[in-house]
Amino acid sequence: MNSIRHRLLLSLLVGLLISTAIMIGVACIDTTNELQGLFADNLRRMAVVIEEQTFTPTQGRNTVQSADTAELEESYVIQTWDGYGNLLHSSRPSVNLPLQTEKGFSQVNAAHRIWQIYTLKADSGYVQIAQPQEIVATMIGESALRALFPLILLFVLMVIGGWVAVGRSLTPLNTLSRTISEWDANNMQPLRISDAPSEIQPVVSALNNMLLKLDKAMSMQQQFTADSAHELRTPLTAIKLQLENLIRAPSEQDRQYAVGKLSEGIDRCIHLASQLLIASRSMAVKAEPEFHKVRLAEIVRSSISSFVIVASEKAIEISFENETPGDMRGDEEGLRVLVNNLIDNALRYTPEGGQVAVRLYSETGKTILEVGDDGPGIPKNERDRIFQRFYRIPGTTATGSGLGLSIVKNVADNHNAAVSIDGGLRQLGATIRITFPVSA
Amino acid sequence: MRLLLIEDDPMISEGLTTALRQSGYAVDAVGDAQTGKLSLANEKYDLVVLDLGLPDGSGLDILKKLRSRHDPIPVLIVTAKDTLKDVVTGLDSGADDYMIKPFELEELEARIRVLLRRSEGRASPILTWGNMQLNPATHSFSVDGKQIILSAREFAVIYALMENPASVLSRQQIEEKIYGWNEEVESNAIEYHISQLRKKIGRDIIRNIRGVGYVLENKQ
Repeated sequence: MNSIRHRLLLSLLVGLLISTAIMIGVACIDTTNELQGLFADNLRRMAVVIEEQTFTPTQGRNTVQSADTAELEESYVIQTWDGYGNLLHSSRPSVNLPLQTEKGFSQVNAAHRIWQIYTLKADSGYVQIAQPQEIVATMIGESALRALFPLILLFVLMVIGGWVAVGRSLTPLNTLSRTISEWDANNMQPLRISDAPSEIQPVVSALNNMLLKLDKAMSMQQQFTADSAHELRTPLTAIKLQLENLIRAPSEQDRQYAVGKLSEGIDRCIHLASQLLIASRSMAVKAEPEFHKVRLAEIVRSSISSFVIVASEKAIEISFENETPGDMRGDEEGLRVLVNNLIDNALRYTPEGGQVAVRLYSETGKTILEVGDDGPGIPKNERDRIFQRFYRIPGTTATGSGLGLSIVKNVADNHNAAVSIDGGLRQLGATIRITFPVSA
Repeated sequence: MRLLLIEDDPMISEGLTTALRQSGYAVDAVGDAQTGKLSLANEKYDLVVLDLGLPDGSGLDILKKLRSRHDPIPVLIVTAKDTLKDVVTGLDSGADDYMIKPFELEELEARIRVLLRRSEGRASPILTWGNMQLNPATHSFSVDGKQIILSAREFAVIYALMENPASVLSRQQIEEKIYGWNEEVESNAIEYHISQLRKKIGRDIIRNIRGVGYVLENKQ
């Protein structure tokens, strides 16, 4: 029973039924009382009239046997008794009703019926009038039915009216659900709050808020996909050219050269693809990820050891100054990606024979990770933009995806860590500093 | 034929330069708008291959600057920007053609040939002088209908001469047409190529005017 219409109607119906039942009950009791009173009164009046006619000497005895009273014979039994209890007359002698000793109203079970009896004591005898109880009951029933009919009609009319009224009141909800069912990924118009009844306005505004968030998330996703596809074009174009050059290579020496270039191009594509994957993952982790206890120093150490070969190929001296274990709660995978990207970036942009220095220390309760190099550095006016996706500093010749620092920023944001850039080593290069809020 | 390639991606730039040089063009490659503008101001090129997304500005600025000083040099835009709006804006800003990355090298070269042909005012893709015929598209050269195999440099030299059949080209002019900046040119390179050409196509076709340069012999 989840339909508002059904619920409303059900409660309406139950209420109606109860109130109708009460009305009918009250009406029945009222009618019964009234009719019984009426009948009793009738009996009494008749008794008085008959007593006058029977026991008053000035009037003839037979007056009672008028045409009027004959008609009543079926429903009444009229008896007169003398002062000694001898039956003087009975309108229906076949019905043997004893003289009641009590005056006034009484009930007697006789001749398979219940009789309502009124006994009047006169000076010279008794008058007793009896009426079968069932006649009273039948009459009461009939009049109750007559009273019932309009009530039933009212009940039916109210049910129909209720059905229609509830349906009408629910029209805005139906309109709303129709509008929502027309939504799709490309067309999500916010709902007009003013169109909704005040009862469902909170729902509408909640829906609109959700829509806004969804729209933002979706356009971010679309932008990311578009950017990614665009960024993939460049290395793919390069690969295509390199392949063409390999096919066309006029000499063995040219062919060797072209193969080398093609291999570089493919490596670049692979790097970009894996960075894209990492970036999309780091973007997805918006809610507090499942943080565990991690030791940042261990992550840095293992990351550095995985870059040792790359560093030695470029004759870059890489060092790690470890002053704190850097215990904290964090997303281990994310932090690994962050550290890897920082070191990879530093190695990528630092020329041969350079230096990369990693430092992990704590200051005023905060854990700070610094990766410095003596490469080309990051001009002050570029420092805000380098965290944007696919942004590369003009004139950069080293092949990178333009994603590394945006990934670093995403992971840092997820850990509520601040990212800042400073000058690097020996008045050269750059230092990227990640400040984690608390060292746990 | 000397081309200027303005492209910021080092790999694409390198790949294109290699390919175009192998096709006999002299190619200068620059990676940013500033150097591109400088090169255009100081050197004479037959065509510009222009990328739009440059680190220090849009390639469109270079294009607009060229056209504002009424430089008719053919410009071929090669870019990853692929929306209709980008294409229309590119062409309306004065580009002669527009190609979207990734492109087919063959098509790029064909379009370069078309642009060069149009800028020289030729309708036919084949250059003819006397009994000589040169087809830039197929890199073929023939004398009296007989194919003659030429090296890329030899082809570039005869192409330069046939392109300007009535004028004398100095040694330096020929050098500029067949060598890019960073290609080492030996002092007697042009003389060497000319002598090689003469061996293949006949001694008297290329005439040397002492102190001035080289010109094709008028045989008609």
